[in-house]
Amino acid sequence: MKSGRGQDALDTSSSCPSAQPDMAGAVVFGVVGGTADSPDVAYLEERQPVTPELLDLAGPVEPTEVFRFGAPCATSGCQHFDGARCSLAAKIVTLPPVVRRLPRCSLRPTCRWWREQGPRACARCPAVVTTDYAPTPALAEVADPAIAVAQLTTTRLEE
Amino acid sequence: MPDQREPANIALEEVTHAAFHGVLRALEARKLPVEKFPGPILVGIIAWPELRHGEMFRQVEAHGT
Repeated sequence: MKSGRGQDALDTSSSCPSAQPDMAGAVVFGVVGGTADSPDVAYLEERQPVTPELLDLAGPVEPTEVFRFGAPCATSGCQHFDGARCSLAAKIVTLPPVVRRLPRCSLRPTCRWWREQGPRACARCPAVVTTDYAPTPALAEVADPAIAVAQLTTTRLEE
Repeated sequence: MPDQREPANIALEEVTHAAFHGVLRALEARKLPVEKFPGPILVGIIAWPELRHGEMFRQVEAHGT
């Protein structure tokens, strides 16, 4: 199901798991724990609506440093959308997995990363912070829309 | 390859506590020690009916500023 809004057509059937809280239909599904060097997302048992009170919990930092938000995929409105698929998801699965088994996740049924990359995406998802002031070099490469999947794959094979 | 860990889940009533630690993690990532943060850090006042204890309030006082 798509809602056409000029150039940016939301895909309401598919959720972005690294969204901004001000996006239409945004929910919170995780809280970023761990350390600056090793973030570790804890998943809420049930997704929750985004409220001013929840955003206030992030206090002196941005909500996207503390929470993981899901929202309808912005498709062509997103720099990671290649016209058909999410290039960010494709790049994330080039990283090593960080969990032994899949997290129980309330967003998974509609998550684009899950739909396109399957369990491999979920095994890396807990390491993802939407706004990260101390990303690892590997995560910084993954998040850079100018770096294509093929470049990462080639690099990782050479390592 | 990093060690693989067990995934974590939290209940609604644990969100405030988890967010508090999330803020501390974010400050660490920004290289801003809590001790040097100007003024107290006010971490959320929520009153979700689902919480057993109603309102929760947590404050971290800056030290040495």
